[in-house]
This record gives sequence, structure tokens and C-alpha cells, in this order.
Amino acid sequence: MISIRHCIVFICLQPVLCSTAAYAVEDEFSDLPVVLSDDTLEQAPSRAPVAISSIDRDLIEASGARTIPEVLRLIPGIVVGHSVNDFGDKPLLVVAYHGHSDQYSKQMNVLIDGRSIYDPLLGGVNWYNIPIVIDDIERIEVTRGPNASTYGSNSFMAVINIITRHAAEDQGHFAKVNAGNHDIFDATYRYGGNNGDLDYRVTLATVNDDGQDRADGANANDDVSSGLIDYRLDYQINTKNQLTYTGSYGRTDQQAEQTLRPETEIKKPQREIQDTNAHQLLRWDSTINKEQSFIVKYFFNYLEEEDAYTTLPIDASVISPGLTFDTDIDASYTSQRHNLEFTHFIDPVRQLHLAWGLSGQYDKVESDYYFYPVGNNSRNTFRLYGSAVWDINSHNTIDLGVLFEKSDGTDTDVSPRIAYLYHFNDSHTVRIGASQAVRTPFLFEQSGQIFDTALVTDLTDPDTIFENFVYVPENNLKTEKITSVELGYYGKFLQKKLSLSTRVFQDMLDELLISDPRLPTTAEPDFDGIAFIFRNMHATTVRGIEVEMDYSIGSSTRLFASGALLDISSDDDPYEGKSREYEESAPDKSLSILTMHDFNEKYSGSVGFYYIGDMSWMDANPNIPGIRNTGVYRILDLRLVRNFKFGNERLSTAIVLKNLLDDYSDYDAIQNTPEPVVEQNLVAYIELKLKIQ
Amino acid sequence: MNSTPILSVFAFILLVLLSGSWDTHANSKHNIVIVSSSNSDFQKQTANSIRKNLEADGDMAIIISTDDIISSAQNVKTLYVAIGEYAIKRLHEFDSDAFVLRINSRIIPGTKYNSAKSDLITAQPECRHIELIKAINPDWTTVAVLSSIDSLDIAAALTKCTIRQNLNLNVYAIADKSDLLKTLETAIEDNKVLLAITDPFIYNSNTVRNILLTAYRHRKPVIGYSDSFVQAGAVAAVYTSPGSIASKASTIISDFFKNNWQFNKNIYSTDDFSISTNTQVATSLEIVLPSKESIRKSLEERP
Repeated sequence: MISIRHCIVFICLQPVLCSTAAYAVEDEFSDLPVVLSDDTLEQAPSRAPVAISSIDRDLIEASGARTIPEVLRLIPGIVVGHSVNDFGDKPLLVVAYHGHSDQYSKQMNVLIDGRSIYDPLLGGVNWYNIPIVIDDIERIEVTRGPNASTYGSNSFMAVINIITRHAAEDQGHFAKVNAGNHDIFDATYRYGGNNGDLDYRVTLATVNDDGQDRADGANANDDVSSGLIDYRLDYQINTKNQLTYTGSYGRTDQQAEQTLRPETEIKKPQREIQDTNAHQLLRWDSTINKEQSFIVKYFFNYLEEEDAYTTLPIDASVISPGLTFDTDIDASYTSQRHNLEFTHFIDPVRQLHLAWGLSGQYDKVESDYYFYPVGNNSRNTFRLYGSAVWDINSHNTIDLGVLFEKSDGTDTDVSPRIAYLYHFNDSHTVRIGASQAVRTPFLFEQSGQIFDTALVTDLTDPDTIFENFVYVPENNLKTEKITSVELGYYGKFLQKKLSLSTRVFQDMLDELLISDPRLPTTAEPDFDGIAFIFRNMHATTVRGIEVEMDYSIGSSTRLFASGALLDISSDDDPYEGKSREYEESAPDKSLSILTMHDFNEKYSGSVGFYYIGDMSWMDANPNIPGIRNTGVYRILDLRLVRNFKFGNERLSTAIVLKNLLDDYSDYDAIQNTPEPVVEQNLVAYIELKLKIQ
Repeated sequence: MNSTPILSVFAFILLVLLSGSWDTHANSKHNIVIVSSSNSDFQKQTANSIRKNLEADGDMAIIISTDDIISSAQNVKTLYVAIGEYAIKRLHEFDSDAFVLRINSRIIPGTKYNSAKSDLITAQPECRHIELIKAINPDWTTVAVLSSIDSLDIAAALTKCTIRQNLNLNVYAIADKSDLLKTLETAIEDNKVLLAITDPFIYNSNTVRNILLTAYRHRKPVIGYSDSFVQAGAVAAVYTSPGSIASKASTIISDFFKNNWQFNKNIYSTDDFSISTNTQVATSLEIVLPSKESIRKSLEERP
């Protein structure tokens, strides 16, 4: 039980208000708090049942990234795109692993400190609007392949797990400013403090830029401006129990381009869309004894998007020559996620590591636009999961895992995983693994209904309906399924300074959901046009090889490189062209190289090079055989740093230059023009960083 | 309502309980009081083990906390067993002439010994920590030690051991708490392993989070000095277990009474050692830990 004294300490942030001399009696015999528990430890690649890439703090900084997706380019098989399409949708940063992605990358789970943040309405993540500062991130772990028994729902093709730093690691003041072309202006301030058993930090930040440019050099309407507050408190109740409380509130203003697609009757105007993203998380870590520990975690996510507008003039000349009119549309929505989770870790013997857990999740979305005419939808999801790692001896390890998941509207799904690891010695390991996972349809896929139409009744008989989108729900959707098999190798060379990870894999995906435009709707009696409906229709197979290398050359140079060769095939083609869309949704070849070097204590630098083969995003495929409209592109980034030290103060200034090679488009989504709507060109900014401990 | 009957009942119960307590001592050959500094698992286990061993010898002991020294004082000849520096100091303040076996990890500076006072030092020989490092991974050739002015003697002893073991030991002096994090970063960056030593100024429940997290972030192992440190996140430790301390303490006490309430030596130490490892942390750091038995064998074989 937490005493009143503990509560007072917990809420007391300023050391001057509370002080303690509890450590006066400490000695060799004192109990110490459990700091590195099961859930905080990074899984060693040589012991992992699946391929895991870990991007640590040094790589994040060296990449010069202002956003998390830029960092994720280092992961083999991941492609990042800036979606600006001709539908008038909000521009998004899209992260996709092994293709299959439109602007909402649905087949991937994204977690921050174990908190799943994918959008319950449409799937995917709005990376512009995550209230987290890149400087608070300790590392990013990317699980390549399904791993539902460890990470839960939607851990389908990959899992991105963002781990922030313990508040104890960020003590003192930290400030950072970025300023450069494209109206880049970012500012971050963080304060971390300690009061006895309580460590805390608060971060305030703003990120601003004017987005991309059009191919003709003019600025595109995709400016982004965001502000956030993010905080974390770690409280050591006693040596065996710790509470972690995190919270955030962020708000993002994004410009959206008007609808450019000529055949669309109802065109969205150029506008600003406001997004709010907030969360609260409370977590209790308890160590029962040497063999057992558990975690109880509750979190609440809140998303709100305000997107109300008046359409561009709608051409109604079919009714009366020269007649135009407009209409008001409110495509706003709010979503909430409540999640309660319990995980129990048990090591009954040295060679056996067990974990099991239960969780319940409630997602609710309110929107008159997406759930016409009801205005809302919700879903409960319950999970039971377990895993077992058995080190049979020093050479052989078996890793098993399983997840049972039941969501409203779907059957109970089972996601098993098995891996056998053979350790030749402490430097070389071979892994054979197989796993299955499911992706439950998002709320909009499952029951969304849009009737984005304008009805003219006063001038004509019968009524005339002008349409943008009409979606109707399908009642019997199944979960998407993936079965993955792989052969992996992880080795260390050159006195363990070089690590090499590679895998050959085959992922078989089935029951893939697409929005099918061929069915007449019964949504409204007055409407007899074409409506979209989500249906389980396709199956694909992804085969490939991925390689990742991390090489520390001496004490001052590090080289990180990764690459992927991919082949996606789809035999199932009920509708012409859809198979091609899947097959072209990822590049056949991709390569990333990041090198960093410390010249001396004062100067350091890094160079990043990225090669992405040609591809077409799923919602941007021109459906022309042999044409992939996002062509091959290469990126060259450079970062030079000058460090200063003044006692306990550390100041650094850096020049960051991005896209030093040719201009390129990483998400060419205009289907009706040969030129991309936006292009990536030179980005240059200066970074100033001050840390006072 | 008249509360007198209730008070009387309470007084009777108290009397019965106290009389039971005195009865216990009354049956004992000697009056022994074990004073513990804190409520830590280690202290509880040590105190309970000593009591159990004494019971086997026909002596009974009571266990009290430092706060109860005054209230539990008896007007009979008593041997105190003080566990930890805090208990030792409080007991000294209470009665500087008391018969005391002082169990501590180090000799408290300024101690004046006589036949009524003796120290049982629980810290393992410094060289054994170095041997542990060698036994786990001979490639850990550079070792960092953080030391304040209170632990310079330990650092000096460790330095002597590393010369014999062909290791490079780098001692980083911490003069002020505000220097800890900065110095820690440097120490961890420049060495392959951090060896923690018993210095409460540097290693306490307030600082251990930062130390272990920082070391882990740099993927560097920490070698602790206690089982508790290993549970917190150190990779391994060699330490004296409560059972070993109790066994040695019981022998000393037995000799003390045989010697007519006089200690034979001023300073005793334990010969036995225990090994604790954290396989989860080691696995995460991709360190292949030898088995405890193998480490023990290796340590026993070393000169």
C-alpha cells in the first residue's frame, strides 16, 4: 500500500519543497531497487526468435533526423514516403515494411513504451502528430516479421517499438533549436529532476516546416506546425516496486492540398487540419523475487481531428448550364483507446524463461462523417498471451509464443510462433522460425460508412446526387492473416566489433482487405451509384533477403548498413490490376548506409546514403504495366558537429544537409499527370544543443 | 464508558508477552541482542541465521532495530551483535563500553579496539572481485572504479590486484555528487566493465538507477558487490552470504563466551564467498556467463 508520505513525495516536483535523508543508513547490506527488469531489457539479436533491428541513441543523432520515420530508413525493408495525393487528403508521413501500404500503413504495430498508438479508425500512424520528442528516445526496436505473442494486436508484418529514456537519465536542463530552409524552426526544452525516489522530466517542443516543394519549385500546401508537452515520472516505491507515469498532449496544424483529381465531383478545398493527440499511462513494475516479476499497465490514448470545410464549387451544369453550388462537410473525428494489461514473468529454472499475460482494450471512434448516420463505433478486444524460452543447453534454444485474441465482430484468432536457435558459440547463431499473426480490420474497415455526397433536389426531378466517396460496411469481414517462415543468421566478427544479421524469409499473406469499388450500394435509397466496400479478397507472397551490419571501426568510427532484396507476388487476381498493385508496392532493392566518425573531442560528423528502388504506393499505382511511378531515388545526408564543454555545460552546434543528390519524389501519388505533385529537395538547417547537468 | 478493564487486559497481555520474552532469555546461557541497521532482506536473513545458529548452541538472542536499543536495554550483562554501520554507531552512542561484535563491510575509521569489541568484516578481499572479472571474461581488460574519499583504500587495494592480473584498472575520483553522472559517462565509455565497490556515497538506492541505466545504455556490464546489486541489474557479484556471516559470527560468539566474555581478535573476516549472476541482463548484453559452479571453481583455483 502506498502511504500518504509516498503520495506527497510523488506529487512533489521541486527538490526545495521536499528533501530526504533516507540514504544516510545505506551500506553493503541495503536492498537496492530493481532497475533492469525483464521488460526494460533489450532482447539480444542472438537470442531473439525473430529478426530485430535496434536503432540506438547514437544512430538517431547521427542520422540528423527531425522525425522518427527518417530514422526508420535505416531498417532493412522499410520505405518512407511523404504522401501528398490528388484526393485532397491530409499529407502524411508513411512508413511501410514490405509494401502493401497506402497512405495508411495498416499492417504494422507501433508502440511507445509498450503503448500501441495505431489509429483505431483508419489504421496507421500520423507521424507528424505523435507527442514525443526525438531527443527523449532511448532506442527504437523494429521487429521484422510478425510477433503478436509479444507485442499484441496488429503486430502483423512488423512492429516498431519506441522506447523512451528513464527519467533518471535526463537530469538537468536540455535545450535544442533547429533553424533552416523550408521554414524549419524546431525548439525543444526539457527539464529533468530528482527528489529522493522520484525521477521526473518534462519536455516542451515545437516542430515547424513548410513541407515539400512542387516539381516547379513552388512551395506545396503541406506546411506542418506542431507543439507538445510530454512528461514522465518514475517513482521507486521500494526496492521491489516501481511506478511509471507518462503523459502527453500535442497539437498539430497541417495544411492539406485541395482535390486535384478532375473527375471528382465534390472537391475539397485547400485547408488546415488540426490534430490533437494525448495520452496517459500508468505502469506498475513489481519484482516478487528473483524468479518472478509482473507488470500492470493502463493507458489511455486520445486522438482528435478537426477537418470541417466548405467544398469547392460543385459543377451542376448537367441540371442547369453554368449552375454551381457548394456544401459543408465535417470529416472530423475523435477516437479513444483504453487498455489494461497484466504480464507475469517467471523463471522457474535458470534455463527456462516464461511470460504470460492478459489484456483488455476498448476502442471508440466518434464521427458523423465516417460512421454515417450512427455517428460512432466501438470495439472490445481481449487477449491472452504467453511465451516460453528454453535454453536446452549452451547450443540450443527453443522459443515458443502464442496469442489468443477476440475482438467484437470477429472470431477468436490464434497467433502462434516457434523458433529454434542454434548457437555455434557465443558469436554465431542460426535461427529457424515460423509464426502466424492476424490483423483485425480497423473500425472504419469493419463498419465505416461514408456518404460524402451532395444532393440537389430543388432544381431537378429525379434528385441528382454528386459524389466524392460512398463507403458501405461489410458485415462478415475476416482478419487478415500472415504466415511467415524464415532462416536467420546472426554473427559477430573482428573481436565482436562487427555484427552481421541476415535472414531469408517467405511471408504468405491471405484475406487481404481492399476497398472494392464495384458494388452498387444500398446505403441510401436515392443513391444508385458506385460505392466502396471493404472485402477480404487477395493473397500475396513476399520473399526476400535482408542484411544488417553494424561495425565499430576503432573507437571513433561506426558504420551501420542495411539492405533488402524483395519479391512480392500475387496469384489471386479477381480484378485486373490489383495483383500488380501489390507486386509493385515495395522496391525490389533498397540500401541504407550511415557512417559516423569522431574526429576529436571537438568535431564529429556523419554521412547517410539511402538507395530506394522504384515502386508504387498502393493508392498511387498508375495501373500501367511496367510503370512504377515512384522511381528510383538516392538520398545523401551530411551532418557536421562542433562540441563545446564549459564545466557541466555541454554545447554543440551542427550543420545538417539533407537530400544533397538529385531532387526526388518518395510518394508520387498523382495518377493523371507525369510529374509528381511534390518533390524532396535540399534541406539545410543548423542545430544548436545545450545540456546542463 | 469505563476503559479500565480494557487497559487491564492490555497490560496483562503485555506482561505475558514480556514475561515470555524474558523467559526466553532466562533459559538462555547468555544474554544476546542482535541489532540491525535496516529492514533489508540481507540484514533480516543475517540476523535470523545468527539467532538460529545460537539456538543450536543453546543460546537465545533477540533481534531489535536501532530505534529499540534504549527501550530494550536490560540491566544484565549483554553481548550485542551490531549489523551494519548505522547500528554500530547508534550502539556506540548508547553505550561505548558495551560488549559488541560489529558486523560490517569495512573497518570504521577511528575505531578503538579492546577485548569487549571486535569487528567481523564481511567485504570480500579486493582481489576476489578482480578474479571474478577475469573468470567471467578474460577480454575485459580495462576496469573502471568510481571512488570517493571514503573508499580510496579499496581502490588502492584493487589497483595492486590488477597489476598481478594484468588488468588495467582506472580509478575515477568523485568529490561531489554533482560530478557523478559526468564522471560515470567517461568511466563507462573508456572501459570495458564497471566494478562497483562498497561506497555508499557513490552507490546507494538513489544513484544506482542512474549508474545501471547509463552503463546498460552503453552496453557495458557492471560487477556489483552484493546479491541485491545483481538483482538490481549488475551482471555478477562475489559476496559474503548471510549464512556465511552467521556461521562465522556464531563461532566468534562461542569463542567469546568460552574466553570469559573476551574477544580473541580485534578483526575477523570470512573465508567463504558466494556468487550471484543476472542471466537476463547478461543475455541482453550478449555476455555468455559461465555457470556459477564454473566461476566458483575458477576463483578457488586462483592463488
